Amino acid sequence: MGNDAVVTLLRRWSGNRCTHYMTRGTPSKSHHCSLISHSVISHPNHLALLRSRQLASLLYHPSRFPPRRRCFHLLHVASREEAKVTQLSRPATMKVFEISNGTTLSLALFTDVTNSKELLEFMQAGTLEPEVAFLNASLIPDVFPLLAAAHKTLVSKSRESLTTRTLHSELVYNYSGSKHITESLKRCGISDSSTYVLAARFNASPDEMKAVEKLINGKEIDLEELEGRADKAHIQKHYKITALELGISSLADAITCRIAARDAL
Amino acid sequence: MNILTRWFQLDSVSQQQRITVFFIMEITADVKDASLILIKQGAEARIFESTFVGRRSIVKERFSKKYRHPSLDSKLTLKGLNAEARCMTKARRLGVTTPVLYTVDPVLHTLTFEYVEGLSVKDIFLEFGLHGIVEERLDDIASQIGNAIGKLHDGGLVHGDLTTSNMLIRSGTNQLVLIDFGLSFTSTLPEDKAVDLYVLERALLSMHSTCGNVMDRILAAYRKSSKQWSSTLNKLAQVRQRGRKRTMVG
Repeated sequence: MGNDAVVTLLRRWSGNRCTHYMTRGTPSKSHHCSLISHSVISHPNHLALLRSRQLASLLYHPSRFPPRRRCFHLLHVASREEAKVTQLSRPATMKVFEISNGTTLSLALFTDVTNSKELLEFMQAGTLEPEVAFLNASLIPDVFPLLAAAHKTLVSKSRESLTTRTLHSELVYNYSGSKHITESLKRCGISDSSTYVLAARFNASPDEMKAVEKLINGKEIDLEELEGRADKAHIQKHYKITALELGISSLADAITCRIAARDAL
Repeated sequence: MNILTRWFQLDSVSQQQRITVFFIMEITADVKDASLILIKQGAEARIFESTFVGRRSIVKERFSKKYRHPSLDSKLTLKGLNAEARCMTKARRLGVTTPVLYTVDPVLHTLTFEYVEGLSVKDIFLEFGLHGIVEERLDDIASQIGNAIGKLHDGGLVHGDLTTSNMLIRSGTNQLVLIDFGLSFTSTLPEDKAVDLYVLERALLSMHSTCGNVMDRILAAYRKSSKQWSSTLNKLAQVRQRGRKRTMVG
């Protein structure tokens, strides 16, 4: 069943028929019911269209429950599905962090990205709209070092002493903890074959972040996954972190120190 | 007359610079959007408490010395600032816990680092002096101190200001954290390392004589962790005889 078909059905069902169905519940339609509820759940955006009561009517299987228990079952399903709806419709994956004085950094994490080559071309041509930083997420075990790099970027921006061309490439450069610009952008930015990407944008509006999400062909996942998906050996090699240091410090803290102390070295 | 006018000019320049410095300070207090609360003022720096992208932090500002020529002053302050950042991170690389460095600001001459929750070793030892010693805890702290200094010295890093107030015990984990690398430098000379230990010995003697001989326990741990302990401790015996300053006669 296509998306449009589901939507038309939903529109029809959320009218008067909905209540009718809840009270009468004809067994002949139960098959239809489960079919629709299934497609609805697999399309979170459509789920958001529904209120819990209407949803309950969709998920209701009259044949399975005797009339007396229908009411309880409906309530139960309604609350459970409502929880599911809020969970799915909320953009849990994209997060906004305040860096300083109201300036924010919005982050969105993507896996299985297929168009990194295209993104890279856009970026190099300077035609990326909106402008955004793409980072090699396997080098990022936690958001904090990235926020520290963002802070550093904003300070140099406020003094008009950016080292690279744009604010967002400066973020990638600062995250690398090295003074070599080309190398930094190559290693901490994305390459032709990148599939695991973190997108970051300063002071992004919700619409801009949606545009960023559209730009990337991939699956958006929660930022919590950063730690588990980080390539520890690669990070240790890139930042020259020894096992001795990891004995007393987390990987994220070690990276933060290197980002902060780069210009002092 | 000529000299007089020159002095006058110099002075007016430094006045101007002072004004600009204050001006910048005010702006950044705004930029950081977090209140800076002064918690300590020393001869070299001021310590503030603040927040850094959502974490509680300490800001250490090395202020300029008004008696130095402005251009010399800013060079020296910056040099000290960078040296401190370098030494702190080097200590971490050697396996000695120091606060996580968050950012270095070469314009404002500030270092921002992690706020370490916990008491200083000084407070803990003074507490021991007042309410009796907890042997187990004292042993643990002394061995951590000896171990940390051993690691620093073997890596060629001299702390330069080893006192009990520059050592913190992180609450919860009881992990020793060394702070204030403002006087640190790199050296492989047994002399420098011995003086480092000697400074600690004097500090312990003057502040914490009620705790018994903590220095012996520290040195025992130092011997275990440092491979070059023998030359350092030989030198320490010499330094004890003559004091911290080397006689420059002959």
